[in-house]
Parts: sequence; structure tokens; C-alpha cells
Amino acid sequence: MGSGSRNYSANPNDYRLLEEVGYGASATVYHAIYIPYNEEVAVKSLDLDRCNSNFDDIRKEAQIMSLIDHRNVVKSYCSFVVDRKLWVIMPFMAQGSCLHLMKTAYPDGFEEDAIGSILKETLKALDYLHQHGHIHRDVKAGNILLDSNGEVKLSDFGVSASMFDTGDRQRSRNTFVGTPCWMAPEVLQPGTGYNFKADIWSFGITALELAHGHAPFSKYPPMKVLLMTIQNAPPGLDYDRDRKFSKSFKEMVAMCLVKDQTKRPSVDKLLKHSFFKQAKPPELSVKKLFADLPPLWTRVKALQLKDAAQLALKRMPSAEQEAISQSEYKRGVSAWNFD
Amino acid sequence: MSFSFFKVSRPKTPQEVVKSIKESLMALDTKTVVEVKALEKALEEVEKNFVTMRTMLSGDGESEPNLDQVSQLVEEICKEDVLTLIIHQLPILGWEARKDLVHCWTILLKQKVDSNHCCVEYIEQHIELLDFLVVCYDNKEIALSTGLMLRECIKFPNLAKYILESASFVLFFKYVELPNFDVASDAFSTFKDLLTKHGNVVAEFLTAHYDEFFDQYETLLTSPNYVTRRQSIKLLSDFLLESPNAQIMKRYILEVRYLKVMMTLLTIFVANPNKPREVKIILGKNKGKLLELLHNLSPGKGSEDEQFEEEKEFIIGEIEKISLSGSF
Repeated sequence: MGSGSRNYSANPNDYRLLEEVGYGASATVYHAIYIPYNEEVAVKSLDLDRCNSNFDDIRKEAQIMSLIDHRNVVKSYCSFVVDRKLWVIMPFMAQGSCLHLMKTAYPDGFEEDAIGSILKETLKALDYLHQHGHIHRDVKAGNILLDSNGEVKLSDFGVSASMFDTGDRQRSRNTFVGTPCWMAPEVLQPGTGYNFKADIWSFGITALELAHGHAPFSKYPPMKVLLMTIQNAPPGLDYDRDRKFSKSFKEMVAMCLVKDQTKRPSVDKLLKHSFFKQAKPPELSVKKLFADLPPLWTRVKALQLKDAAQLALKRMPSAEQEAISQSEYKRGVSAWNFD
Repeated sequence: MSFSFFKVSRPKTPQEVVKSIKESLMALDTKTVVEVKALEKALEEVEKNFVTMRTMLSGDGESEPNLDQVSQLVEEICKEDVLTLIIHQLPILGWEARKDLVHCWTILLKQKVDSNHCCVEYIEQHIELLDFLVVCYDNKEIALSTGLMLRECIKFPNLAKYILESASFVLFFKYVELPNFDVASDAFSTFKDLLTKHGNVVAEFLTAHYDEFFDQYETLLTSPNYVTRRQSIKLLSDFLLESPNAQIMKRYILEVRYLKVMMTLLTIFVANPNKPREVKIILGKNKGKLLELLHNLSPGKGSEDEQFEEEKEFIIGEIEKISLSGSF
């Protein structure tokens, strides 16, 4: 275990919080310094009063995150209680999420070579998670984080659950787990099982998101998305503007977005697809994406200001609030949406 | 490597699997541990053997396990004292080996040989193994693995009973407050299972150790750690309301000092100047009931209750304010 050798203390005084780099309904993420090593880290501060999940769910999430050890998955170094908050210490990913990067500088999506690298690294992360019995359940551009050297990591175990668990977490909450645009048809329908093939669908949607700058159906309200996902033909790369993309990219996306989950490929099989065989290492294709951009916190601040009006609407009934948080999400207010 | 190509690989018998597990664990002696290279090699060997054990116990994804073999394996493991060896060597094992072990552990404990839980009986006869697993909470590298193993053990009433009554039990009051949240919350989850899984065992224990237990439990309820406070109050109501604990509950609610603990907790919520909206709503909704309850409260004895009265007045005042300011 490479990263296991370093120990991070459970003492809040050892961490100096710097800029805010992301926030959601119940968590804020800070860029911070771990003073003993003078090392940059991310501190996710989860407000336990605002958090609906019970402590068992939080415990499971914390344990999964601390047991993970893969270069493409964000792990937690440690976690501890500070007043009424839970601090989770994680590696700092200096360029934020893919979603955030698109909102800032690539509103119409990335070039194919960058997409190929990002997706391949994400797939490696999913491969690891599936092999260890975990379903991620929330694969989307907002959960794919980038570091300045081009490193790509999948984050957010807010809704991930272990396949070894008998309890069905999906039903343990009053709302759907995950974000409707990225959810597989079988997940949206009651009574069907949730298995790792749901991650493959979300992965396909994420591919479209990276190619277009937004997920398909993202301009519709959640209920409409739900119906469209179930009733319409699966979305794909078949618009005029998609002509620039290679045949193998289109084919790979179409393989993931098959409504019948049994016909979707496993991660293992997908990794062998020609699209990923030819993918460049991320230091070549991803690193250049943020060559001329200001630092992450400046970008976050700018987007926050732009959305200040939206945030004033916080005191609204929960249904509307949900719709807004959805649109907040789309606008990329939260660089890292950890909820 | 190349030689294995010529060998016709015959699958190992359960006895052979156990033998190689045992030998590989014994090879992790002090001499090996000092030498980095030798240790690495020995650990790899253990890891490989655990994978074999895992496959024998739960199949390889394609074929189902052979029940006869499983039975023989379990019997052999007990006969050869492998459980003791496994637990004692656990702290030096690597992550992968621990993961496979935890997976096997669940199956081993549940497995019956001639209608007996062979491994559970083994643990009963070597009960100090449980104490060993409990103190592993002090080692955060392995605490999550041993925590899982411990929770598998206490599914069996006899093993739970042993821990409750052992000297190790008191350690849980320390472990649930460890600074690392993942370890502390794992310990809490085991603590909770101990106090809720076997009603009669728990009732018996609480009756016999009433004072010590609730004295210690009070430290959790008044802990500076917010998570400990919230979890322990929830757990308290969970187990006090279990029917076998009816007598315990009646005794508990007779005591003014416990009422004070509860009032302090209520104060913590009520006095928070930045009450979140949800807390305000709940307090507001129950305002009538709360005020009625508080007004009817009178400890009615002794001067040391002045502070109690003061606190009561304070809480009443704060709760009345909530609705007056109409702040939600």
C-alpha cells in the first residue's frame, strides 16, 4: 500500500484551511495545508446537523474511503469530528472537477483525445471498485477530479454502497440516490435490482457530458428526465455536431448506453475496446486543458458570484430547493459536489 | 514458474490447504519479521493460501463450493489451532490477506459440522481470542478488519455474553471516542450490537452491572464529541425500550441524576445560538408538549437541585423564545 505509509493526524490544529473550493447542501470543501508535512490537502467538512443520512451510512462511507487504495480513486487519509462537523481529509486535486472545468473554460465539451484519457482513467477506477465489490452509483463529470499534473481521480462516495451489503441503500432514503440525468433506466424503475451495470450506463452518459459540455436531457426538470430515460431511445453521439468524433468513440458510447443492462459490457470488457487502447496518457492530453487558467479558487469564486442570486433563494420549500440545487449543480457552482 | 506447466495440477485437499496455511503463518516468526525480503515472501505465501481457502469456502465465481470439502476444511482448521494462529498473526498481515480473511471468517463461523458451530465452539474454548480482537481497536491499521470479525462473533449469544462480562468490555467506552472517526464509529457499531442483538443476555448483564454500566454510559452522553453524544442517546433509547430491559428502564427513569443528563443534552440543542432550521422546526412543533413537561418537572428534594431549577428555567425561556421570534 503506497499511500498507507503516511499518517495524517486527527487533530484539526494540524490543518490550515485556505480557500473554499466547493460546497453542497451539507458539505464544504476547502483547500488546506497539512502543517506537519507542509502538504496541500482537501478538507471536506460535512455538517452533521444538516446531514440526513444516519451515522451508519456515514460510517460505511468513511470506511470505504479509508480502505480504498488505487491511484484513480480519491481516498480519505483520515476523518474526525470537529464540533458538529465531520472533517474528511483527502488528497487535493488542484484543478477541481471536469464539470467545473467545462463550465469555466469548455462550455461545449472537450476534444476527443482529452475525453479518451479522462474516461480511461475513470474506467480504471471503476474496475478497481467493482473488483472490490463496490458500486459507485454516481459516476458523472462533477465527480471526476483533475490534478495539475493531469492525474484523474473518481470521487464522491456519498451514495456508493457495498455490494456485500444486504441492506438496499437506494430505498433507505426518501429520494433517489444519484442524479437523474446519469441514472440507468433500471435504476429509475421500482422493483429492479441495482447492480454494477448501472455504473456503466452512467459512464456512457458521462462520456456524452464530456463531449457536449452537459449531460443529455440536462435542461429538463428531474421528473421529465426520469420519463425520457425510460421511454426514449438511448442518447448517443449522433448529432451533426458529433461528426468530429471517431467511429470507435461513438461505438463505445453506444455499447454503454444499452437499456438492457445484461447487454452492457463489464468494465473489464470495456477497457479492451479500441477507443481505450489508443487513449493517450493523461499527462499529454489532460494537463494542457488548464494551461492558461487562473487557480481553482479564483474560478470557484467567480462562479459563486455569478450565482449569488440563485443562492439567495435558499429559503424555499424542499421541492423547489431540490430543483434549484439541480440547476445549481448544472451551472457548476460546486466544483466538487460531495453530497 | 515454467515447471508448473508440466505438472498436472491436482487441486489441494482441505487438509493440505490447512497445512499450508498453518505453515505459512508459522513462517511469520520473529526472525522473518526482521528481514524485509523474507517477510515479504512469507506474507505473499500467506496471501496465496488465503485465496485458496477463500475459493474453497465460497467458490470461484463459476463453480459453487463443495460442501463436503468446506466441512472438512472447517474441522481441520479447528483441529490444527489455525484460528488462534490467524488471529495472533493478523497485525502483520497485508491488506489483501486481511480482506480475504474477513471474507472467510464470516463463512467459517456460520459453518456447521455435525450440527455444531465448530469454530464458535473453538472460540468458546479459547475465549481470550475475543479479548485479543477487542484490543485491536487500538491499532488503526487493522481495526476495521478486526471490527468486522468481532461483529461476526457477537452474532452468537455466548460470545456476546462473554465480551459483555469480560474486562475488555469497558474498553469500548474508550474506543468509541477515539479521534479517528472510521475506527471510533466501527467500535460504536460493535458496542451497539453488543447492547442490542441478544435481549436477554443484555438484560441479565445490565441487571448485574447496573451502576458501573450507567456511570460509564453517562460519560458518553456528556462527551465533548458531538457524534458520541448523538449516537449514545439514540442507542440508550434503543436498548432501554427493548422489552427484556423493561425493569432496567423503570429503574433508570427513577433517578434524578439521569434526568439531569437528559436536560443537559436538551440544553445543548436549545441553547445553540445557530440552531439549524430542522432543529427549530422540531422544537417549535413540540413546544406545547415540551413546556408542559418541563413545568410539571419537580425534582423536589435537596439544595443541590438549585442548578437543576436554573437550567430548567433557562430551557423553558429558550423554548418560549423560539416561537415568539417566529424565526422559521
